[in-house]
Amino acid sequence: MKSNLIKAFALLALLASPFIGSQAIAAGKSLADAKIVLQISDPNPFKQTLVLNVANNLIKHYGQDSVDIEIVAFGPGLRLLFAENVNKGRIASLASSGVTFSACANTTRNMGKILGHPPALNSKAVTVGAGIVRIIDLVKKGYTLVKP
Amino acid sequence: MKNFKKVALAATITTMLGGFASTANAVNWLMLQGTEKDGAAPRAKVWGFLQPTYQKDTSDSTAAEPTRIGPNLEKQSQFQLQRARIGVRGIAMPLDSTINYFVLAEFGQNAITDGGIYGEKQAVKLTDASVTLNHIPGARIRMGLFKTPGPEEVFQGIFTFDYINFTDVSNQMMLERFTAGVNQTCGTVAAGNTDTPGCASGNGPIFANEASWDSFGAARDIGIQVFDSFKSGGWDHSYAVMIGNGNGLDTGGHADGEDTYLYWSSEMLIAGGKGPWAHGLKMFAWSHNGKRKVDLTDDDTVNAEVYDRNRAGVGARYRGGNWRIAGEYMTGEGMIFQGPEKPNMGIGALPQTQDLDGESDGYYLDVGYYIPNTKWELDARYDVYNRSTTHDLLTAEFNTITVGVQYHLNRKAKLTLNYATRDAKALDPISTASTPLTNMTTALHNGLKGIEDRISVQATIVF
Repeated sequence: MKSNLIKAFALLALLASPFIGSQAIAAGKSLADAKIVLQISDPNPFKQTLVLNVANNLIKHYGQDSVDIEIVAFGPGLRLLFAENVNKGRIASLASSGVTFSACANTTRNMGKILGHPPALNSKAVTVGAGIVRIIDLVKKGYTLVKP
Repeated sequence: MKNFKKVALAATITTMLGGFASTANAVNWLMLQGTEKDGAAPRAKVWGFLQPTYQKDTSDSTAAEPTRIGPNLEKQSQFQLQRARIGVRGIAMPLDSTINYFVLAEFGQNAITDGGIYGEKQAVKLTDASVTLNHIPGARIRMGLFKTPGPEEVFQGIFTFDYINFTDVSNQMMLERFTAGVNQTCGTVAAGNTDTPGCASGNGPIFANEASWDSFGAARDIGIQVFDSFKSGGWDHSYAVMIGNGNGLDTGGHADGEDTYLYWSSEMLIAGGKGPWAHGLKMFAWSHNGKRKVDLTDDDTVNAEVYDRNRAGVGARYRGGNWRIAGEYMTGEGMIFQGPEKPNMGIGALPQTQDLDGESDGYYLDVGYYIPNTKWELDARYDVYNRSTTHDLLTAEFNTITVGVQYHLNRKAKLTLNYATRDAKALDPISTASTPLTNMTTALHNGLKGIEDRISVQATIVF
């Protein structure tokens, strides 16, 4: 009986191992030591530099695999994620280090009305429904909100 | 133009031969002054700089015409507010980076605002007011009043200048003075003497339609410029083509037709430094071509004649590690300004006039060293200006060695001390019955003999 139980557990473990492995990979970010959402909604260009500096410093401190960073841009701060923004090189570099860039769809739509066409966004940016809602959702999931 | 083509060719060849991947930035004055950062420019950034200065000219004060400190030319030593400029720059609408603007005004005391004994005095003078349209890839368009693309020494943002005074070649040959008829007596010239053109009637040449000195070049013009910059393989290449009034800071009728300005630069980017102090090796060439209308007769009738005013130059600047090394060579044809040293800081009543079809050239070599782990920077510059080389009676040579030290209080403020050892001399023409010395020539000789060293101290604060 005992040996059968051991065999059953061993078999179960063997069958489940691929699933457990993929789950661990998928949940890699959720296992991070720190989860931070950075908000940029300010028109001041200096804030663009500042928010990118903060993201960079967090990666340096925690290590790329131990921190989960998402930068959410809405309102005037969405200019950071314009395709031709002067910081596009830094954005690409941070994206390759795992930083997620989220662009507010509401802001994009409203700016499009002013410009007469939707603003071209950085290819690294992911459009989310509403920037502020995205931040609230991330905070509920345990993210720390920082507004440099 | 020859020099321009040579440098452009050299830059192209060097680009083809070399190059390395780099994220470094160029010290590109076309872009730094004419454009804003895409997606990251403010609607209106208020900025400016102040340069309170003290200068003492040690020239012989007992001479009949001692050199004096400008712009008022009343004392040989004085405190002055050499520059006080306040401006606004940015983008018209934050969502649209394609339209930029740049406005700057001079509140200080210099030739821009004060013509001294030769011109008018104004409390404030607009020096820049331009709009840049960035809609066409490779062909940005800038319109209005702004710096003309030219020699690095003059073209650079002046608050980054490592010295207090310009070299003689830049000051005398590049910064155009629209000399007026007042205070200009060339004296009598014997018939047939062509060495002092424009003085034959007894008075110096004046700009047509010029009642008094009412404009100053200030290395600026009102016009339109097409330009852009391209990064490729660790290099930054830029060009500019401009057409302007040829009348400096003001509109007016001194030029015949429009002036054309051509500019090319190629900079090998080197990691390190930021903004105007970014590291790199830049080579550049430029040319300015225009015509000026001049009245040669001393009467109330305008008898305008047209003379060329052509300028060209090549140069290079290296900045890397703790070193800065730079040099430029410039030539001028026509409308060679005849001021003894610093024309608006020159010799009292010596006439200001023009060598209408004369030629000049000059150059400078500049070295700077930032002492590691300190706030001190050491500077040394040697400059030469050969003025009116084709007219013996006007030919003069200016040699200046300037040593300086800068103390950087922080990134936005510094103190500068300069000591300039000056040697100026004219050819020593012999007066004969057929070619007698003119009053102008005599005054030129007497004035140049008196020029001695100059010490200058300046604080620069950028905000």
